[in-house]
Amino acid sequence: MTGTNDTRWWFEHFEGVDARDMDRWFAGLSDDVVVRFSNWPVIRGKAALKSHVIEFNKLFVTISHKHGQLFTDGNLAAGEGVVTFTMHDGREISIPGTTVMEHRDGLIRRIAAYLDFGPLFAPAADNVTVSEPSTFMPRA
Amino acid sequence: MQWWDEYYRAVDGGQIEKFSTWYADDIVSRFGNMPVTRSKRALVDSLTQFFQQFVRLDHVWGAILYNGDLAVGEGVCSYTLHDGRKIWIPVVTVIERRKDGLICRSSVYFDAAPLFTQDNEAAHVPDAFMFAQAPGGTALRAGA
Repeated sequence: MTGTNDTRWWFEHFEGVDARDMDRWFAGLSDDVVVRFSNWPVIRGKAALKSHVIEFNKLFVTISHKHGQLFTDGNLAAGEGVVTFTMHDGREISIPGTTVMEHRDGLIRRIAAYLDFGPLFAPAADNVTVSEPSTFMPRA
Repeated sequence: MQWWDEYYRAVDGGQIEKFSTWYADDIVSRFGNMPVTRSKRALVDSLTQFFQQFVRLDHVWGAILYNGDLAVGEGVCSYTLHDGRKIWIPVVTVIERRKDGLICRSSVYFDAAPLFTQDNEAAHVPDAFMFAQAPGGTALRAGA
């Protein structure tokens, strides 16, 4: 394996995602980036990802990531965390998960997010939440 | 990562009483969005219920990264259901072991929904295997 243990790219990526600044975070992706969000079909290429993100972003008003354990060997990194969505009706939904990314020559080549997005799609009246989503996050 | 392979061989053997010998009494565990369990007894009870959904499970691991006794594995798990259907679900697991080798926390991140639907189309996860093996077909193991 080659690469460094500099993980700034990891956090810059999520800062762009949380800012919902597509120009910013897409600048860090390779044109042929391969992306998996949970069980959904794999997305191949920046253009396809852009269409997907535009649709996905319609589901909520804000998104923010809290980072826990980060494993890396340089080119490959896996980070445990919690993502919180603020829905259009004001509800906040926090979901624990892990993201795996590969980063080569300064660009992210693949992203795989492992989590259950189910609560985002449950009827608001059911008020589906995930208990203790931050159990494995570092204590403040 | 011999212990990882040994542990998952035991899990895939399907005998909860056998593979639960890997667990510390105070193990903290998460499966997807289900409530966190905080003891070996609670985890075994939860697994006993979960294992009723299928007759067999098999893990295939791709990248495994580790830092001492803390490890994360990316892979795919196949579940053979009671009606014979086989469902593949991508998964990441984070496992922490204590100095005595017992697992004190296990976090499994996945969406188990395909196990609970009769709709074959909804149960199918496209390209489930995609990241279960590194390019060249060999598992990637890296750590310190």
